[in-house]
Amino acid sequence: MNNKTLSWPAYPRKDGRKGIRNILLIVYTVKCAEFVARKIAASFDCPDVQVTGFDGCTDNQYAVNLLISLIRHPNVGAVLTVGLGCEYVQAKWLSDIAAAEDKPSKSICIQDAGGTGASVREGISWCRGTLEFLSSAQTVPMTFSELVVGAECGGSDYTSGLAGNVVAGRFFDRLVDAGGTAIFEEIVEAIGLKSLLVQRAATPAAAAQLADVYDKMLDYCRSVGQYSISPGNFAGGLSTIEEKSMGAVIKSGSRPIQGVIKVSQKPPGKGLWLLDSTPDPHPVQFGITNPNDSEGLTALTSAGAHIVFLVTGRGSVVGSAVAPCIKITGNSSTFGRMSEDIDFNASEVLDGTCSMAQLTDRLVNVVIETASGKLTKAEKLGHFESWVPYKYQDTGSAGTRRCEGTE
Amino acid sequence: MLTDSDSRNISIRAFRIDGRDNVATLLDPAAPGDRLKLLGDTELSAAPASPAGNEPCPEETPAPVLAALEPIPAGHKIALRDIESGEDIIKYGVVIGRAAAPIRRGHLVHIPLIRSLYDERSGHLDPETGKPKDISYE
Repeated sequence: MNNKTLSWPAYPRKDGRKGIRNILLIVYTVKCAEFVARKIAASFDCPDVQVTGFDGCTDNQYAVNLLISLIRHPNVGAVLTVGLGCEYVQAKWLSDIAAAEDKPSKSICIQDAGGTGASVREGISWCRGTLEFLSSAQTVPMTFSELVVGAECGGSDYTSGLAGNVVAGRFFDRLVDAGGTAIFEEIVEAIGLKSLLVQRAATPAAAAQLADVYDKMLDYCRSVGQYSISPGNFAGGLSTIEEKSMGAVIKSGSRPIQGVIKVSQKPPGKGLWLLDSTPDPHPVQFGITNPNDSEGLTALTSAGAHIVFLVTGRGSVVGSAVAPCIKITGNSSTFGRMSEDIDFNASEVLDGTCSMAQLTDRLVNVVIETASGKLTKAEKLGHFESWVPYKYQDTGSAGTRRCEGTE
Repeated sequence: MLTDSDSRNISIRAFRIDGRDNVATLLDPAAPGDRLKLLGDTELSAAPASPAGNEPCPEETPAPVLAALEPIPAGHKIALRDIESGEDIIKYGVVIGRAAAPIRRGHLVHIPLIRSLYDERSGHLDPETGKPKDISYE
């Protein structure tokens, strides 16, 4: 990645960003419309046609922002929205946002179209024509300085903190050094590391943001009495949340942290950023709001990540809608069992047969191939999971909460 | 007395991720008396991962041949030197908890001998299964 002039073909978008895919994204606006949306996509069975959506009928600013961020995402070339008709989030409002980005778009209201069969036929017909249009799209060169990569971990075991997250962090260092943008999340797995994070702040403003978001997170964890560590983690050899935290934070690499962004916010500059997905304090909470890996991958994608890493120890099969997901494991037996699903084997560094620098070189190559259009394992299998939950987050500024006695 | 030639045949691996650590993670299960080969990625020590507000600790050099003194499963931690009660447990070059009792070199470092500075509940979980003892399953 020292070669800053290295480039691959990408799709230019109206907002100035470039996409590494040209996806036709089908968005359902309420659970009642999901079946029709999936039925339309199923008739194509192609990695360029993907489905996401929001289950709730009542709207929520966080969820709406997330849908809009996916519609505007540079990997998305066209948008079909599907609504039942009586829900708060209207399909037409979302397709209008896509149109404003000069992306081919259409909305279907199932109640107006005349039910399942008519809606599915209308959707398939439009998608067929749109895919043909997308296939003739012009491309432009894209470089690392325009690339955004996100990382999170799931199903961690002791190898995650020794190999998988470490190689992701080394990749982040290279990406940042090449002028690109890296985003890590899971602040709930930074317990005990406040000083370490604040010391890495690029500016005093970033230091204040990091301290605030840490305090908010600790307050939240204490209020729900739950830390992001589970019986399986202890049985696997992790002894404290601090130990698990360091194993998780190491995936951020070692470069200065430019600041904190919230879900659906684009990083305001290049370099390394922390994505805060913790709910803000609010009188009404929606229970456990960071319930699975897909939520984290969707949050990273909402911030504009072109590619997302999922580092796993015990193994995972999930992919990600909109941003191709590269799955990494440091556990050789997991890779042996699940190489159909997992893209990158980081375990050799633990055997001593390969240095971390060599391993990082290999991951750089996998990223270049993926950015150039090679499908990840999840894309080949049709794994395009996403999760758009209800949540309260003030998107105006990051980490505005001040709490007392948190340390 | 263990010699260098003994250590050449050691197949059980322990991975120390930072030169300042007083624990290493086993990559293979060890039985009492098993000698360990200590591996580590030396580059990582260069990462700015020093304990908050402290100067980097001098690198700890464990004696050449480390042996497990009790059964230690893969993924679990072994003490690289004697650790006193109340002393910090260091992994990744940072504090990951505090010793709740003296831990001798070669012993397993896990709950309940190590306690989180934050999560009070976890020190009471069953060390082998992680099962909470404060919730009844009848």
